[in-house]
Amino acid sequence: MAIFLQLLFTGIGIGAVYSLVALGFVLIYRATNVVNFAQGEFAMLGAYLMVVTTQDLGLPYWAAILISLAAMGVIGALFNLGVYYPLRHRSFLPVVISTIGASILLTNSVLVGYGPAPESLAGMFDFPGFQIAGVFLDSQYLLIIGVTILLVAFQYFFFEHTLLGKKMQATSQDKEMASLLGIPVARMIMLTFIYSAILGGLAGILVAPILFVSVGLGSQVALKAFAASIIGGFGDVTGAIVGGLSLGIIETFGAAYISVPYKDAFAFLVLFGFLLIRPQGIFGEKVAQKA
Amino acid sequence: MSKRQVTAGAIVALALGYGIAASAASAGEIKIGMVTPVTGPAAESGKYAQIGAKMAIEEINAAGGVNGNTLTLVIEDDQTTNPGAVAAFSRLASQSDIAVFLGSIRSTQVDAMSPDIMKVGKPVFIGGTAPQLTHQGNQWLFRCRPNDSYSARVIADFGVDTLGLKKWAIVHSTDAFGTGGMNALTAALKTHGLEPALVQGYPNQSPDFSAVVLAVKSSGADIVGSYFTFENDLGIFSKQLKQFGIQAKWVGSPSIATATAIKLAGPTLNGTYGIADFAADSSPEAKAFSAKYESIAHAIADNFSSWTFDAVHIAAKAMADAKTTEPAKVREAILAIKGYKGVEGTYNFDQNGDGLHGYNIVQNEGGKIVFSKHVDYND
Amino acid sequence: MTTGSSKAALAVPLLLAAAAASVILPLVHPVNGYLLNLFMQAATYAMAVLGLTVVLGYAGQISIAQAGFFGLGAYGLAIGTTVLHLPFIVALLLGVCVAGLLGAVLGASTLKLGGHYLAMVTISFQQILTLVLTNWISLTNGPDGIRNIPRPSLFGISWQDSDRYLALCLVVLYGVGAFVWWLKGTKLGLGMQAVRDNELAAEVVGVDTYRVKVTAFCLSALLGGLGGGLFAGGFGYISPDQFSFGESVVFLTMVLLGGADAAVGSAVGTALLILLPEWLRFLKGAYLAVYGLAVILIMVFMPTGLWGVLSRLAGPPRLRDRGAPEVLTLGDPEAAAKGGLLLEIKGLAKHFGGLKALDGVDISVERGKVHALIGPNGSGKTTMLNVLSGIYRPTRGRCWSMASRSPACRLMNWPPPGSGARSRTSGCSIA
Repeated sequence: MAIFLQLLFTGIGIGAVYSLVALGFVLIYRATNVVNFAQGEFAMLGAYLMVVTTQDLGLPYWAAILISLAAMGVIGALFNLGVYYPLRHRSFLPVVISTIGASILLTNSVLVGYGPAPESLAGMFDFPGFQIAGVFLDSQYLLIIGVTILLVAFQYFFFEHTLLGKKMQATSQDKEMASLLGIPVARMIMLTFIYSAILGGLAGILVAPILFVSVGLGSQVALKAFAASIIGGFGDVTGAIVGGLSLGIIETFGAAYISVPYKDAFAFLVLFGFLLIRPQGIFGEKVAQKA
Repeated sequence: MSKRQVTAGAIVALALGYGIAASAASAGEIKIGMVTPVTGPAAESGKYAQIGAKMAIEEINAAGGVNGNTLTLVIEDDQTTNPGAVAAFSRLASQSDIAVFLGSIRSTQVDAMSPDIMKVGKPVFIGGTAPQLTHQGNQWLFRCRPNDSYSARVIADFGVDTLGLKKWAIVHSTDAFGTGGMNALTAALKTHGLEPALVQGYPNQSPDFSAVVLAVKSSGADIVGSYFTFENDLGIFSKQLKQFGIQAKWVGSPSIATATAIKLAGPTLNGTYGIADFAADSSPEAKAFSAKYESIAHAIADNFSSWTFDAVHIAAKAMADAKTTEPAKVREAILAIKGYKGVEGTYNFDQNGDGLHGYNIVQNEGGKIVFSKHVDYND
Repeated sequence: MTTGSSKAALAVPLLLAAAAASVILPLVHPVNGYLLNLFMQAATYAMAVLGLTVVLGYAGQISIAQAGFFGLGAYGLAIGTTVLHLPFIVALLLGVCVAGLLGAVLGASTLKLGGHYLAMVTISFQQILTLVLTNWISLTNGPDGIRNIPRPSLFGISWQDSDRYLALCLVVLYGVGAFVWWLKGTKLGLGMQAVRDNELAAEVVGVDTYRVKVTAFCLSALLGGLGGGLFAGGFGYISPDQFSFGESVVFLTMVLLGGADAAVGSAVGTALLILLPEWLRFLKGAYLAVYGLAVILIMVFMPTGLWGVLSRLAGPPRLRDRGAPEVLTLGDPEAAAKGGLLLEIKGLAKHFGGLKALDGVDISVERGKVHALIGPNGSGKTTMLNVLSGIYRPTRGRCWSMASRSPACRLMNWPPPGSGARSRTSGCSIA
């Protein structure tokens, strides 16, 4: 029983990581109808910025977080200008390739600038975790789960109950109509990218104490997070969370009870199944073409 | 019209290729070609390998060079991929004035380069530890690190005979290195009459090792033998081992004792054992190398730099002994080297091209790697 | 494919001469091993990229799994020759067939999916394939890979030497290139392009879009497998990490870079992306970063790919001068004189829940005559057309048709046609 609970906790923990990154995917997708293959690299950049601010510049933890997240916002804006904006009228494939190019560019720029050695990043708390009833609760995972819950609550409040949030929702639902109603669409999209980059960076900062900081950090999580958002229902925030958690749990239990080397396969098999049977995922809207 | 443009492009590329390949050695110079990762996931280790090689070259040149010639290093990036290694090697091979080569530390890359190595017919020093590399009939491969059949035997002998533990859990990466190591360790345990209680593979770059650790726990093993390729994975595994309260002893492949592993896993590695082909305190040569390396690289010396250092020295010695750079004679001279004290250990080349036949055992004592002893085999 | 006839007459012999020259040159004049390896890689990759031209450029379906099919072909050849000891050609065919079969399976998944959902299916397929290749050790030798893959001995000649093997690869490549170029103008090729441009319209016009898409995937996989098999023979050693998601992205970038819908464009894109890292070697550590930047810039500034840019430099396609356009008559008086019904529908009904858009409509369409469907706003005219085109499934109704392929009649209950059921009616004669 303890083993089951332990696996459940870890599954939820890693699932929360996927959810955080998936949130970033979903936001950009909703606003621009584009999948951002560089979302994982936002996480990687956030983690490296923390390393630079805490270890190289020696700043205190809270100041470092604020500065890193601010820098991520700037990066998000630049990303929008350089990668998405010139291609905004084209079909989605050039944009996807462009984001893949951006992912290669970001990964290797960090490699050139910082070097390939993996770094460790201190967690928020000093103590490693709690032991309850034979189950070890890693403090960093607890933090991640907590932040994810807070973030979901914050996002719900922001998007549903503030004017700016509603404007961004309108932009994501129908750009033309939003523009006709006087909403500055380009600015909304810019804000979406900035927010998404900050979100990605935050995910990286939270995950790095567990997975360590290396240039491969982004790609380790991004593909799974993308799969998670499809399982949950692409374009749906709740779907991203549910999909991420489900994927984490499936993966962890699959590894423990079926096969560790094939554990990545389970995630993709589940995704395959969903795409064939229910492509809109758990929460998404039905995928249909209007005649 | 279109195909003409493509053909024109091909002709330009040919010309470019010729142009680049045409840089000849100046008089009094012997070139050593080095295939190493400058980009890609293994770029870090590539940097260290280069430093090791260059250190050796400076020492040799300062002492008068080889047969009156200075040594120079020609480096090509293998991008940490198999086709990249083949491209890098064939690019070097097309330069006829390169006398010997430093190949890869990754066994799959050595396999990929093997056909071209046979074609070029010049000595290539490698660091890959897959045992079969020197048993495939390629007479131009010379290994400057002990292969994994020895590492597995050292782990098994140390665990069973010295630590007295008989219930083994083998944790290994599913890549070529990990799988080969697992096979060798299972075979080594068999010679002690033991079957492992658990054999658990994992895919590289796993974010979580709960399933693996819990499997170790359920197996009731009192000792873990491991072949981890990447320190990231090792770090996560190590932390979770401690978190889930596993008390088993741990003897790991060299990645457990690197500076990176200690940086990432911190105090969770205290008390673990590792086998290491390079250990700074294993010999006076290793100590001297380590001190000099640290002053140049500002990092602790490890097995990425030690084998290239040894390889260059051995190449130089062989060429000096043979008094020529002619491949067949250099090959004979290498095989004739016995009792050469390198920093990895004492080299006695056998007919397969393996120079080393044993490993060091080290222990992590409070965050410091302490040399325990060296184990050599006679076969 | 609109070159003027005089240009075409000149272009073909020139192309053949250039192709022959590129094949013979390495045989006659010794080329160093590095370049032979490079060109051999470029040639086999180009075959896989040509496969993407078919599925992506022509049919508009995204596939990020091409490296998987490439790998299937490679492993088919490797296992066939080293384990099963089959002759090279048989092993090559084995790899190609396995790839083609799985390509058809993947194509079957396009029934309900498009866009980035399809992209995710192909990515999942690719990832699962890589995992199987790595972990099914008893079949594939796992991460150690397969070594000592032999080269063929065909027609009594040994193709062991790299220059000969390169010549072989180039010959196959040109054959494949010619095939893909020819495919564009065939019925299947035109059907693919119709699906790419507007799948709904293609379906209405009578193109079996599902079969076209499955065929496109199958062809693309076959070509990928062919390239992979020859690649394995060329390098003599393969391992699973060479056929991963990253390589699929490389293939995709090559086809987009060159110009997705032109066979030549694929070759150009491939050549460039294989040579580019070699030219950029001098950048050492930074070259991959520059590569990533280059990909973005190319996507932004060269939307039609390199081939698009180059062919535009050659000038716009020359329009054929066909004289003044003739005046078309409405309807077909000759056929009307012969008479006869083309389509007869009785009691057609279409309900959307409680809303009855059509309720018991009868229509007879006569040959050669002009028919007009008129009615006030909201009377159901568009619904009628959508039912007749097969876009909507009718709730009720009976239909007789001289056209065996009329989509509406496929869906409704109808007795077999009277005399002379002929081939299909084109959609526009109903209006």
